[in-house]
Amino acid sequence: MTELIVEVRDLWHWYLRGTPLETVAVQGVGLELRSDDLAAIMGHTGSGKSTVVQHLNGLLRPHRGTVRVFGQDLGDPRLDARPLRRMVGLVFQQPEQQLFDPTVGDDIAFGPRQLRCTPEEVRRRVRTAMERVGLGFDAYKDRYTFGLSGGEMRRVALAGVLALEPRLLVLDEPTAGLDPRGRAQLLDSIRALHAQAGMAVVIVSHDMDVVAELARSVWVLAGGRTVMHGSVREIFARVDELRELRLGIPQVSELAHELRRAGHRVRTDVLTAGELAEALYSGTSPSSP
Amino acid sequence: MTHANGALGATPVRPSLLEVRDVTVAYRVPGGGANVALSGVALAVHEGEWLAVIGHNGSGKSTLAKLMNGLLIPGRGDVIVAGMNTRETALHRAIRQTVGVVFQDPEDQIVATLVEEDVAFGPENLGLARDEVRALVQSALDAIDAQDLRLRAPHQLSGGQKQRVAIAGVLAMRPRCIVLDESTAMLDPEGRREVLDVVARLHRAGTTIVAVTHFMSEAALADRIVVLSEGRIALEGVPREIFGDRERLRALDLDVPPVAQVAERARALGVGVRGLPLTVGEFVTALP
Repeated sequence: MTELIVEVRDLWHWYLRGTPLETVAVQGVGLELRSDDLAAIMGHTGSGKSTVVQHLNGLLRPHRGTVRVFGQDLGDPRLDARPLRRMVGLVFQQPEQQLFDPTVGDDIAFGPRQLRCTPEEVRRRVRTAMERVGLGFDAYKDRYTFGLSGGEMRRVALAGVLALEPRLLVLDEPTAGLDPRGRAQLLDSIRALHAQAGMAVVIVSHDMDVVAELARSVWVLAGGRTVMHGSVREIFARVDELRELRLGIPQVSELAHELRRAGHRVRTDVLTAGELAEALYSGTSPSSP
Repeated sequence: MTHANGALGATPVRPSLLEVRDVTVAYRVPGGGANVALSGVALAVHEGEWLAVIGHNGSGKSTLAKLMNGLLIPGRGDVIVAGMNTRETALHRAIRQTVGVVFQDPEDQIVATLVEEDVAFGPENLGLARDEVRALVQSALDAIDAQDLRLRAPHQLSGGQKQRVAIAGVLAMRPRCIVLDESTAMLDPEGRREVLDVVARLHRAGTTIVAVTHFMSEAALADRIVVLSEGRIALEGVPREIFGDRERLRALDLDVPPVAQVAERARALGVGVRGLPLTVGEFVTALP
């Protein structure tokens, strides 16, 4: 049975509240996540994505509305949010910039050591986390952190968060700046975390191709509000609305729509190159002699 | 396709503005040893061309970009910018006026509190007269289509706007060549389009463009592509040649643009897709 793990209702948040520079960042966002979700939050720069995400582990508290995460009410000023930070792993943009220990294994072990885990437990957690992101424990634990490639460093940073053994993983622009292989490997790791380790995963991204490849459900924010919600296929079929929100669509969807406009009989709710090729095949075959 | 290993493959039709001559760069690694970032790279950038540099993380792309205006001096070999060797410190000012670099993160390159002051930073440091600075700022902001941003504070701009302002700051120096080091990597789709539109416009106006990128669809827009792997030039050619060999690219940890992937798969199913479409527009006309 899946359970509701995140419940955000009519969330409002202001920055510099009570000053002449007060600006509203989020005004009435609603969002729900279940324990088996693989979801994406999309939105243009300034849509409120990052603000919402920072409520999920109590870095920010709601100014109005409700945020419940794993049953804890973040609107309650007496709530100690620290346990929540272990349950909700937040991986920021370009997390490799936060690596600090010259040895890979020690960098990943920092979190579990702060939790005062026993040395055996630290070792177990580091090993598991490294294997989950595709970095072999023996091959990488003693490597020099800052001599790794960009893709490897990003996976070390992700392992550092996984070593806290969160139940919900939130990743902000996980693939920005990675090469095609690094990107494919990271997406595979994220899929495996969801499927095998049973973690709920949310990515925050404006890379439509990544969202199309990875996510199952999508929440779209604009102007600090939730404006769309649905399966990834439903969302990317609503091209005109997405363009209106200045979000763009995956290249494959764009191609499908342009082909249709040019008079080809092709489905437009496709997400991958393979699906579009199939659609072209079934669109052309009945008409061919 | 040229498998360049030191020799210049394509016959240069235009004079080269920038020459990388047999360059090797190694970074020292703590604990001993060295990390070779570039090894025996030879490359000519022709006046007016749009050159894309692609390669996996750690292939040496950013190192190559930093060589192009003397931010980095090669350990071995020379980099010649419009006849000037980047080894000569006295020429650095002239070299950086010739070649401007725009980096990945706009936050790293904005220095002032108003857009116009930020764009004026370069020319002011050249000690130009006020009117001259003003004229340069004016034309740089025109080039990025951003007169409306003139009196805005940079921190209030979107990512795409900030990156355009960074480009304007470089343009105010009237460079002949602009090097973009993954300048669209952190932008949202709209920001990327804004920056690419500006780059295409500058290219049409005759500015030489060197664009380091991870987006194959952006590399497809260039006149020529250089593929780096393990610090060497692995492939060099026009986009159609480079993206014509998917297996080879995959072996280099790269891939063809999504549009070309659709073409390949559709053809495998028997759909008649003509040629090798690299952009949406090309694909639409490639179908029967």
